[in-house]
Amino acid sequence: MTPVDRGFELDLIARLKRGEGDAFDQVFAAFNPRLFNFLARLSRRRDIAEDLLEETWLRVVAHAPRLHDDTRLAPWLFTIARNLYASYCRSRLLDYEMAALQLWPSQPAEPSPFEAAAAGELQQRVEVALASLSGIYREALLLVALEGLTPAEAATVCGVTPETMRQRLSRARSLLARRLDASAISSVRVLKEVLP
Amino acid sequence: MSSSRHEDALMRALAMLPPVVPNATHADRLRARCRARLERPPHHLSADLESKTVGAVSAMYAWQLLQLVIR
Repeated sequence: MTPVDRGFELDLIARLKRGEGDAFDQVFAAFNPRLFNFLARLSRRRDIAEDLLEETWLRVVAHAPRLHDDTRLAPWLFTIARNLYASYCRSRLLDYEMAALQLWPSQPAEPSPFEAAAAGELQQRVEVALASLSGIYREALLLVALEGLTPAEAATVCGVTPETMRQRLSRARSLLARRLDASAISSVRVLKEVLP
Repeated sequence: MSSSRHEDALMRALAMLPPVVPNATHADRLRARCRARLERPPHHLSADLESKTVGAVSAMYAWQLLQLVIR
């Protein structure tokens, strides 16, 4: 993901507060795919992610006029999405270890034969290992490794101290490592060498 | 991304996962709906009427009390 220029971000926030539709479109274009990816992998269900995504944006619009001038968009948006998912879990008394992965409507976009051979099995293993982690570890990895938030920003999103987040990340890494066999890690190294 | 994360094979493996992408049609519909709501926030007419009604009734009551006191 591309880091958002802070000046541009502050300008977007000011325009959002004034109710400018173009500013909203820019924020939506930048964050909608990221929020959906986060919610889909957090909930492991595409249909739930779609519902939560809609609710997230409705909350964004409702709170936009009261935004602080110095708000950081990514932590704010991911906090809303994450809290909605937490509420959803509480309302359904959901166990984090519930459903099988239902992330794609049918299959992911058709990969090339090379990509399929090289990356398919590895990605599947990583995906399954990630999905097998409990919620607090999965969200920590999703926010930092996939979404590029700093550990401090991820701590804000999850409502914990930066130290707690660092511990969670460390624990999440070791849990993930335990669930991936050594060949998976080797495959990552090979892939990084051969892929552009 | 920080350099330490690049050194971590596990984090790299995570970063390489293909993104789960939202349905484009749904996304566009959602964007348009939210944009419209941002540009034209719902006007709380009932709340306005309620506060005006309470104000008017209170003024009338105060006026009646004042008349009683004057008599």
